[in-house]
Amino acid sequence: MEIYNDILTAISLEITNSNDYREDGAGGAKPTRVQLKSNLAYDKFARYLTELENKNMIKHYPLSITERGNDFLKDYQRIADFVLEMGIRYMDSSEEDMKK
Amino acid sequence: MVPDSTEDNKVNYYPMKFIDQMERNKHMVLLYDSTEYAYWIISRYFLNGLENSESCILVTADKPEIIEEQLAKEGINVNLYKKKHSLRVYQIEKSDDNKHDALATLKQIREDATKGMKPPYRFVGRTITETETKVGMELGLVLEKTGHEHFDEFDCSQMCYYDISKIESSMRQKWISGLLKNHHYVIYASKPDKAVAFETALLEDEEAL
Repeated sequence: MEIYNDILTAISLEITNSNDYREDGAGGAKPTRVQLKSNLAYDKFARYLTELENKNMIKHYPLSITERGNDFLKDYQRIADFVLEMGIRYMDSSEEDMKK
Repeated sequence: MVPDSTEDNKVNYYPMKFIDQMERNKHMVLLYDSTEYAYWIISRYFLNGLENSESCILVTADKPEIIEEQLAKEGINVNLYKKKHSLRVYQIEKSDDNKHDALATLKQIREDATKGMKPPYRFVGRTITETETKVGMELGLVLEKTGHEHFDEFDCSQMCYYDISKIESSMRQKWISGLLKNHHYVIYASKPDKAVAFETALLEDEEAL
């Protein structure tokens, strides 16, 4: 989830700061710059982009954030606080992982 | 913890927008540490359904009059909607002894609770009443898992609610993770700065699959 937040934040910053910025975000962000900003190796970055697209949080071509992705960015801190407070990690973590 | 129940505070309560925009036929879990906040959510969820000609049923082991009073306090015209057969507080037995055949139990409750009502249905409630012991929590997880696996067959929206301040503490992590795995949405009804609602799929770690 943290990585989703990092990538979406990077896309958002990249679109806003882009020279050919358009208010509707239609210009899209440059994937290589987003990858650098989110500090991920290319294969990992590509995999997470696919996940984000599967969850309808980004559009790949051009690279931009959907309404659902924006909602996630807005809610991220509350969700992270909830996860921390409940003492849970990710839902596919094993019980052993959760005890750590 | 008693919330400030002014209308403004309710309207601006963080999960309300999520409740208003949620899709139909979703299985959600409401975790709460304050009954008052829980009723804000339940009442809004019911009001949205009632205004949309859906039938709303709250399944509980408590006395219906107590629940009806709470719903009325939150602005639902209980008597009117009861007369129209679009609102019902359905009482189930307190004992969980006869609930081991999970699917049969869920189907029976649904059938009995909706008699004389018209679909689409909006449920609030939980089948297992005992969440303060390990045995009760484990049985609850089995029922939730079965319910979620067969959720499409029930053709309804369902909000399961749990008071997390009362749960048996050694099973807390496993139990909450289990609940999240077996619902589409989670709503956390707590103080305004902590309350949140989101799709549980966001917590799935796809890379680990």
